[in-house]
Amino acid sequence: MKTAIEQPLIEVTDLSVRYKRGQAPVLRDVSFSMNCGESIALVGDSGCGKSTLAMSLMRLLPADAAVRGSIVFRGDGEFEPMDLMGVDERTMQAVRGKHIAMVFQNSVGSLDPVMRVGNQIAEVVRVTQGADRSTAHKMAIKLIERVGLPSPQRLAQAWPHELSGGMAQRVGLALALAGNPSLIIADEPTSAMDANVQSQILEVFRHACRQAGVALLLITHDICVAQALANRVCVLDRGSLVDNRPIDKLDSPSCHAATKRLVDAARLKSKAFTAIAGKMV
Amino acid sequence: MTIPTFVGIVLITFLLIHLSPGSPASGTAGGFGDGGISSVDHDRLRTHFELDAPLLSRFGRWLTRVIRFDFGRSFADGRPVSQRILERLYPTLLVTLVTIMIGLCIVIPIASYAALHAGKHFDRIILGACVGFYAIPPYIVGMVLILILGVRFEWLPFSGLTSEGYSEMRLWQKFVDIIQHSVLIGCCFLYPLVAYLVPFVRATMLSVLNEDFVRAAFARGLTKRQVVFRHVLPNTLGPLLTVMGLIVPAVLGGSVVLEVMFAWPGMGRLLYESIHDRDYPVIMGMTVLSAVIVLGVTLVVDLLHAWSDPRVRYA
Ligand SMILES: Nc1ncnc2c1ncn2[C@@H]1O[C@H](COP(=O)(O)OP(=O)(O)OP(=O)(O)O)[C@@H](O)[C@H]1O
Ligand SMILES: [Mg+2]
Repeated sequence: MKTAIEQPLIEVTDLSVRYKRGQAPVLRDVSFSMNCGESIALVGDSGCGKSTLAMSLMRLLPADAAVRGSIVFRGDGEFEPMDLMGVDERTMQAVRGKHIAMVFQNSVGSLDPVMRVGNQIAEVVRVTQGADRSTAHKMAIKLIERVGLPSPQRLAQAWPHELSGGMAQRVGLALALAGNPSLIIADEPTSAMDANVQSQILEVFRHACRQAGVALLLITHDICVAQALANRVCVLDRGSLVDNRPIDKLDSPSCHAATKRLVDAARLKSKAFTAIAGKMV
Repeated sequence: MTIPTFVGIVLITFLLIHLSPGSPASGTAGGFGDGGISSVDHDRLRTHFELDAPLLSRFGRWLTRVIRFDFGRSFADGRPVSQRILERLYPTLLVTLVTIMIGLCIVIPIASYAALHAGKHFDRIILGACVGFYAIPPYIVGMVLILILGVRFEWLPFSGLTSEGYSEMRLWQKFVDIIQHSVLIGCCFLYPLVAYLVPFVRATMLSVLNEDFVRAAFARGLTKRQVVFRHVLPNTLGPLLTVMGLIVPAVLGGSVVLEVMFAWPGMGRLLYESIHDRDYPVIMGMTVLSAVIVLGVTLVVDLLHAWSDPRVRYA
């Protein structure tokens, strides 16, 4: 693990976001912090503002969105802590990919269709680490290997449309790891996959993040996915952060109503599946 | 696919010309001046030009010659058609190809800037200007340019490809002379092209900018410039190539009026002259050649598209 635990990696305080003037805010006074190497699941119903939170951490919201609050990022101790809300666009560009990386739900659509997979990974290596062309290419091959894809040399030459969703999401993780970040934000990385591929991908995520000591902010609406990967859960309900607790304390009576609802939903789902499976045998 | 299209075009041209009223013989016979020609001469002309053979056999004989690029001799001056067309080919290709190149060099930066600043003043002004310019026919602009820059101020030549005394000039003088003669006609080709392409490229680019991979590229720490040059522009290229394949024939078609207007010794004017003279061999040779050019352009565009987009390659 990296630096001291008492110094959080990132500390979000009173973050509020409003997309359009006069509309209700999408995020209201959200505060939480993450330590180095920690993995947190951010759960909540569809439309509660999870993606908005992710995009505001990357400062990639539309230009006309109004954002308030502070996001103090300490990174791995290489630089003075900085408030991402206050830095200029150049600094932010240096943070993206290199210190905070992102994995998207639409895995195939997040790849440039007219560029070979290996070149896209190498491009990120070059941009974030200033490596030269051949070093970047070698590192791209290593990264493809690290996310568990077979025959990395051949895969580097593949085009995005030739990949399955699961393969593309592994490439998405390789792209996120390429900058050697201290935080990866994964926005519903497995929502578009079947259960089998989903658990494989989650395993790859866990392994890669452990190995590199990367903190993971996993966004999901599925408590089961959160339980598979995270050691803490933050629950977002209509723009407010209503619950923040260790993953094994989800059935305690002090949970917020929204948390209980999500846990119940997950239980119901697995029960329903068991029932259906029982009927089919 | 290319070959049946080709034969179809050849057949349609042949029928259109031969079934329309009037013939080179009657054109001279019904004429004025010397009082026309006798009906004996008329019949001799018809025999000479093989106008009395059945339509189908004329077409069959002609088609076999077309394959060898032998279009026969011009009715108007008796020289081989292929020779007449070849000497007119390069002025047209010069002005259209150079125009398209310059056009692309103008269109891509303007359209990119407009797309990246969509909804801002520059974008709106450019879009408005494009609609406005596109609505003005090139022959009007051509006339205005000739009258103002050519006749009133005598800044630029507006007739023909070269000046008198061209053959005595040194190489660079020849070059400058041709450039000077090309400016006005080039502008008339250029502005509708730009006015048409800028909104197209801008719209294509806007839709690419909204793609997930662009947002992802920003999230990976690329600068705006890197995202635009490495990801947005390459993805705009495919649709642009497709539309170029459609535009080249339109530009060639538009060359008739402009070349006549600027006395440009190109294919467009040759076509105009030979239609006027009912010079069948030249007309048909021209049509076949245009078909070859258009089919060739389509082929090249398809190849380039496949090169630029892997998804097309395997489709
Ligand atoms: N660009 C935008 N402009 C205006 N409103 C937006 C924009 N993006 C999102 N919203 C609104 O913000 C709210 C939160 O959206 P967000 O995408 O953050 O939800 P989410 O929790 O990620 O949902 P999901 O689980 O479906 O991905 C929604 O009500 C949505 O309508
Ligand atoms: Mg979302």
